[in-house]
Amino acid sequence: MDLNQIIVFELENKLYSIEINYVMDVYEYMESIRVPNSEDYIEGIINLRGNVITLINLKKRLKIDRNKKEKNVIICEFNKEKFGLTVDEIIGIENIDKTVNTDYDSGFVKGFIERDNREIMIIDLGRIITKT
Amino acid sequence: MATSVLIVDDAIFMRRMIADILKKEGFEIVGEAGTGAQAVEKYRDLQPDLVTMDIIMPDMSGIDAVKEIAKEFPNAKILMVSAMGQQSLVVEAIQAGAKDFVVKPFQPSRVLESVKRILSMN
Amino acid sequence: MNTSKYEKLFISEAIDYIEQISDSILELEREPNNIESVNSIFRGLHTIKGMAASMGYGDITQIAHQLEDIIDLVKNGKIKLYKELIDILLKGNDYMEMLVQKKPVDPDILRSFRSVLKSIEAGSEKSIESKTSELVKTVTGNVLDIIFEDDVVLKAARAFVVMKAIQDTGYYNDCAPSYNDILEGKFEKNFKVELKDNAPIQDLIKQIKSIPEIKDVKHLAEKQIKNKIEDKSYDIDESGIKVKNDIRVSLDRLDNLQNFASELVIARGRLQQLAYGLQDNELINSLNNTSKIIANIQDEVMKIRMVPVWQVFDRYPRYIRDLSNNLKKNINFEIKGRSIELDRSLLNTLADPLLHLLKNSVDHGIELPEERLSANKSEQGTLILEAKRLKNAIMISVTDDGKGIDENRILIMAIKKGLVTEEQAKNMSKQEILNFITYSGFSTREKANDISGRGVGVDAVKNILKKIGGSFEIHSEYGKGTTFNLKVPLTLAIIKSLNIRVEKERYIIPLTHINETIDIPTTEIQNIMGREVFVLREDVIPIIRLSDLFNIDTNKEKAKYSLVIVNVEDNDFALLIDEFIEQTEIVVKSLKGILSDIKGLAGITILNDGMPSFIIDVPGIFEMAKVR
Repeated sequence: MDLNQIIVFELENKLYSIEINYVMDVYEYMESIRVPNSEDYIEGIINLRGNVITLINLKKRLKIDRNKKEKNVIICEFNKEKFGLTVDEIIGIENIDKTVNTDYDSGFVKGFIERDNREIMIIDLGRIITKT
Repeated sequence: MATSVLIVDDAIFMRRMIADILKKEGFEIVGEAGTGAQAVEKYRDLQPDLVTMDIIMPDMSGIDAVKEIAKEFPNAKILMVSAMGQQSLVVEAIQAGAKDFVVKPFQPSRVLESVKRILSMN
Repeated sequence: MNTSKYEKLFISEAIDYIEQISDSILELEREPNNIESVNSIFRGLHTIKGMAASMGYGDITQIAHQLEDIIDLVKNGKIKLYKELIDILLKGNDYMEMLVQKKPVDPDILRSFRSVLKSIEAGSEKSIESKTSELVKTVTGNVLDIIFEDDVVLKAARAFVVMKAIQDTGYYNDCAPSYNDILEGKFEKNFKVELKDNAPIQDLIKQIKSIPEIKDVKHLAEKQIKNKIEDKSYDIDESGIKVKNDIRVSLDRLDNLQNFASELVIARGRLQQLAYGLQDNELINSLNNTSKIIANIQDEVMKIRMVPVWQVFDRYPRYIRDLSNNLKKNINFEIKGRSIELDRSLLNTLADPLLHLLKNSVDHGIELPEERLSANKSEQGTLILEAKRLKNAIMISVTDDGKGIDENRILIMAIKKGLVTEEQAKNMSKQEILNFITYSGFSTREKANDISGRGVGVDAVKNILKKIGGSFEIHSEYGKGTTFNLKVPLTLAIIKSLNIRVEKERYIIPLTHINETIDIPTTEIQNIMGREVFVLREDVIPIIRLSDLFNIDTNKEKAKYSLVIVNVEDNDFALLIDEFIEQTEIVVKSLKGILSDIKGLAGITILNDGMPSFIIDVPGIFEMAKVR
C-alpha cells in the first residue's frame, strides 16, 4: 500500500500536519527580522546556514485566533522555495494512507485524517506560500 | 614512445578534429596553440616530433611561426593545415621550412599520409 | 568521417566568428578605408569556410568562399564599397548564421543569392579569365613524368612540394613547363622534371610517390612535351593581427566562483567579529593577513566578471540599421563609452531592456525625414547610446532628438485610466507625469505595434533596474527629444552600501543612490505646509521618515537624527534615520516568492554578524512618499 508520513503539530489546541517529504528540519521558536510593508502573517526572516528563510505565522495565515506564543518552527521546502512555519507543540509523526481524504478541499487544508478520535488537518503548503 | 604532436589552429573546432585523427593512430598531443606566437613559444618548451600548423591566425600567422621555429630548429617537422585559396601562402610556408600541407576539409587518411611522410624524412 | 560530435563546438565557434564578421562589416560601413575591418572580415570568413568544409556543410562553405572572394576584391581595390554591397555582405552573413543554426533557408533563395555573389565577382576585373597562353617547352634526357591525382586541391602548392623535394636531393636539372608556370599551377595533370644523369631514378620515384596527391611517377626518356595552361590561382595577402589569448569559461562557473568569493567575504566578517570579541592578538593578526588575501580574491573575481559594454552595445547598430531602414527613417546611431566595464551578468541583464528603449526611440521617438524637415530639424535623426562612469555606479543613457513625449497626452491618458484625478493632475510636475509611462500597461498608443509592442515594456525596464539595485529615469522635451537614464551598480553581486539603524531595525542603502549623509539636531527640521523639510546650502529638501514608511514603532522624538540625502529622478530628498552604523560591502540576494514585490525593498543581504537585513529600494521609497 502507498504510505506517507505526516508531521503533526498543534495550533491553539487543534491538530494540524504537513506531509513529511516537504519538511527539512524543526527548530525551537527563534526571533526573526521583521519584514516591513508585508502581509501580517509574514513573521520575519532568519538566516539559516547562509540561506535567508521567511517565517510564516501559520495561525495568522489560517486566521486562527492567537492566544499562545508559538514554540517551534518547521522548515519546509516546496517548489524549491524554503520557508518556516511557526507552530505550537510538535506532537509527532503519523503514517497515513496517501489517498485518505485528499479530495477534501477547504482553503489551506487539503485533507484530514482521524486518529484517537481527533481530527488532523493536512495543510496545503502550495496555498500557504501563494499570495492571496 | 608515442610521437608527440603540437596542434596549432585558432579554431578550437579544428584543433579537436585534428587531435582526434592523430590520437586514434596513437600519437600523443602534447600541446595546442591558438596563435602563431603561442606556437613558437610552445614549440620551444615542448620540442614535439610534429607540428600541425594553421596559416591564417591572429597574432602572428602560421607562416611567420614556421619561420621562427625553423630558424631555431631547422629540423622541425611542420605540417601546414590550410583552407582552400591559400595556395601562395602554402608555398611560402614550405619555402620557410614546412615539410608538407593538407587542405581543409581533409580526409583522415590524407593527414596520416602526410604525417607519415614527414616523420620519415631526415 | 563522423563529424556529429564536433557539431556543438562548430556551432558555438562559428557563431562567434559570424558575430565578429557582422561587427566588422558595420565598422567597414562607417569607415570604408579601415583595412583592419576588411582583414577581420576576411579572417572570419576564411576560418568559417575551413570549419564548415571540415564538417561537410557545402552551403556554408560555398557562401563563405564566395564572400571571401568578394572581400578579397575589396581588399585589392578591385571593387569599391557601396551600400548595396554592405547589405549583401550582411545578408550573406545572415544566411551563414541561419545555416549554422540549422534554421531553414529556402534553397532557391540561397541559389539566387549565390548567383548575385557570382555576378558581383564577375563584374570585377578579377574574374576575367586568366589568359591562356600557348607555351611549349622541352626537356630531354633523364625525365620524370609526375602525374597528379584528379582531385588535387592546391595544385600549385602541391607542385611546389614536389619540386622542393627533388631540388633538395641535388639531382634537379630542369622542368617543363617552366618553373614559374608549375609553381603557378599552370599545367594540367602532370609536369616533367629533368634530372641529372647520375640521379638514382628508382629512389627518387619512390620518394615522390610518397608525396600525397601524386598519382604516379613515370621515367621517360627524350620526349617532347607540350603544355597548355589553365586554371587560375588566387593569392591572399597576409592578414593583420588580432590578439585572442583568452580561454572560454562558462558564466555558470564564474557565478559559482563569485558566490563562493562572496560567501568568503561574509565568513571573514563573522570571523573578524569573533576574533575581536576574543581579543586574541595572534588570532586577529593572522585573520588580518587572511583578510587581505580574501580581498584580493574578491577583487580578481570581480575583475574577471567585468566586461566592456561594447560586448552588448555592438549588437545594436545592425539592428537599428535594419529597423530604421524598415521604418524608412534616417538615423545616425552613435555609441559612446564603449570601453566602460560592467559586470558580465549585469550587462547581459541589461541587453533586452536597452534594446527595447532603442527600439522605442527608433519607432516612436525619431520622426520620418520629411516630418523632421517640416519641423525645422535636420533630415537625419540622432540616436545615442552612451555609458558613463559615475562615482559608485554606471550611467547608461539612450538619447534621441526625436519628437519627445507629449505630457498632455500622457496626462489625459492617466486621467482616463483613473491613475490620477483631474484635480490632482493640475498640480503634477512634468517628471511625475512622465513617470506614468513606467506604469505597467500604460501606453499612449492605442494598439501595440510589431516593433515595441512585444516583449519588455518600459515598466519592465524599470522593474529590472529595481531588481539590480539601479534606477530608471525619463527626461523628455516635447518636440526636441527624449533621454532614458539607467543608473546601474558596478557589479551585481557585491555592492557598496550604508548600513543604517532606525530603533532596533537595521537596513541597507546602496551607495549608488546616496549623495551625502548629515547628522542634524531635531531643531533643524522645519515644517512647511504640513511637510517636514530642512535646508541644505539654501536648498529646501523634503524629509522622509523611514519609520513612517516602514511602520517602525518609535518611542519619542530624539534630540538628533541622521539624514541620508538621496537623489531620485532629479529630486533630492532626505531619508531620516536614527544613525549610520557603517559602510559595508554586501552580497545582494534577490527577493523571491512570498517576499517579492514588497514596497520599498529591493533585496536582502546577510550582515557580518549573520543577521539578515533588507536593502532599501530608494526609488520605490520615493514613490511611496509621494503617495502620502
